[in-house]
Amino acid sequence: MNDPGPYIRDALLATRAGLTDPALLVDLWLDRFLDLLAACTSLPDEAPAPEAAYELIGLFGRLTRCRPALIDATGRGPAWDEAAVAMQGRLAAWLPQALRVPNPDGWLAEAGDLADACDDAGPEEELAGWAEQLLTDLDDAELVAWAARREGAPDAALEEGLARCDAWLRLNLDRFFPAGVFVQGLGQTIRPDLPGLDLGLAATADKVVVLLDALEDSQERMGPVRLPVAILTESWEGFPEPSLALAAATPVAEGLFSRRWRSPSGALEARLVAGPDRPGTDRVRVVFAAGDELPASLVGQPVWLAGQEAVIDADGAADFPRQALLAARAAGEPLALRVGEQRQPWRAVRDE
Amino acid sequence: VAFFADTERALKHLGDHVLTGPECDAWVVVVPALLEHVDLASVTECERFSQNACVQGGAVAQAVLGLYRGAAEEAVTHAFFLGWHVTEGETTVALGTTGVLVMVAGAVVVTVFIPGQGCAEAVRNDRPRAGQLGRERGRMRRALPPHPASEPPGTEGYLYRRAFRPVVRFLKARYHDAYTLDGRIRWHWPLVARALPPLEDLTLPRWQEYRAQVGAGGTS
Repeated sequence: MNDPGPYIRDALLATRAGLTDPALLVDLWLDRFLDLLAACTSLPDEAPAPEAAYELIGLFGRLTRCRPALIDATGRGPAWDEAAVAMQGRLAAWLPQALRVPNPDGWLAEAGDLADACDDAGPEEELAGWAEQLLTDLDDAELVAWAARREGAPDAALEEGLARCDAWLRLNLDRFFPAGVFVQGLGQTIRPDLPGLDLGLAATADKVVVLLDALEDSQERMGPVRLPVAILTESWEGFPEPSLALAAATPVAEGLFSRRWRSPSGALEARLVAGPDRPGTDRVRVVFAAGDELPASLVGQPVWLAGQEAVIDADGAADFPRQALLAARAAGEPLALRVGEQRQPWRAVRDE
Repeated sequence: VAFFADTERALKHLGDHVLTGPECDAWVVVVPALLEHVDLASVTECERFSQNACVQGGAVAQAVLGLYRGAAEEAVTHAFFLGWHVTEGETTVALGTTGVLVMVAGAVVVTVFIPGQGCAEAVRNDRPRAGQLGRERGRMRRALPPHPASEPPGTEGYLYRRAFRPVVRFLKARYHDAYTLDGRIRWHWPLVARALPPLEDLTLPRWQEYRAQVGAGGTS
């Protein structure tokens, strides 16, 4: 079976319910990275301000850590490849600027404030944003420290400070629970093979792993969970596996795999129904409808299922090669549906 | 769809968002005509205007309220034309091409604001702190992107860089805050991020195309 790796936890409710959207995060990071890099390289002496250099290097590390499929889904894969090369050529020059920014003691002081606010039962929505910001700040700093190590110029003081921050985080994992859905989304951006590619970069993701562990423990302690919202997972659970016996004409009582999605406005629906993987069933069909009507506006529109592209035909259906979907699943793609030139994400809903 | 349940609530939101710093700065960019009625750069003037508007049942604020309502109606129209809206249960969240977000519960508008431009504390306290305009938590630690040769105020480019794009980035950044760990919706407004195109499809030229599609824009 496909191992999603340590960064994706299907047991966690928000992940299982498909509430997270790692593509949104990657889209945001890449947009900001390209924007900032263009601005900094257009400066006459290419000397970005410390904050800009810091943010750029942090984003560079975070995007390097990402699953390539998510970067491709932004439509800016080639731009990222080019920018990454440009960034690598400037790392050594910009690192001294960037290393002036991180302030572990400041982070620890603010983390203490967050802990106090949690103890005082501060407004949950504010705690969530605050915890997310602190986590992102720590991540930025760790990614800049990683870049410095990679360039052969580790910053000992920063490393020592970050070790204290990391120790605090591990003792106060529950303080970050208000941002638990973000943590799950963040984890889903990380390529599962990261430790094999760059152990140092993988170390920056360790905090995500320990937070996910803690979230799972917490959820387990709360007892059996059920979905409180009418949203079903974008996970692949139950998707028909290739049959080694090639069905062998042996009837098996297997159920159908089905998923349903709804357009952002709620007016249109898409339904996927797939039977067991048998010879001759090499396509998986998604049928689009507006109530009982064929949505004419969708005919001819491109559609992506788990990153695989098809076109909606005159009958309101789009066919996807089963093998391509299996490969997408193996690559860690969520079973997400995006529709139209704008790749609008449709929401998975409970299949009734 | 009713524009708020009653005038009192409409005025409350007008005060919280249009007349409160720093969100008022973004409102000036989106609806420059507001400056014909109230000096949004002056905290004292905003406060006075807001108090008078409430005391007099909104009579003195009709023009400003009309502009607020007009911005909301335009946002909803654009959002539904472009598909930039989501519905979750009874609640619909729509984002217009200027960055104005409208939330409708049932058949009533419940809030209209420019995401990421305001200050939760300022709104909660009902009044901006004298002489000091708050900022979103966290923005202080973020490097603001340099804006090379930014367009002059009053142009479409300025509206895009000053209001629309920051709003879209903010919504995408805050999307995961929308949910609690057990899957409940903590707040609805970030959900609209999922209905928006990727940022590559929201560059200035593409945004201008969207604006043209809905019959808005002109000066570039």
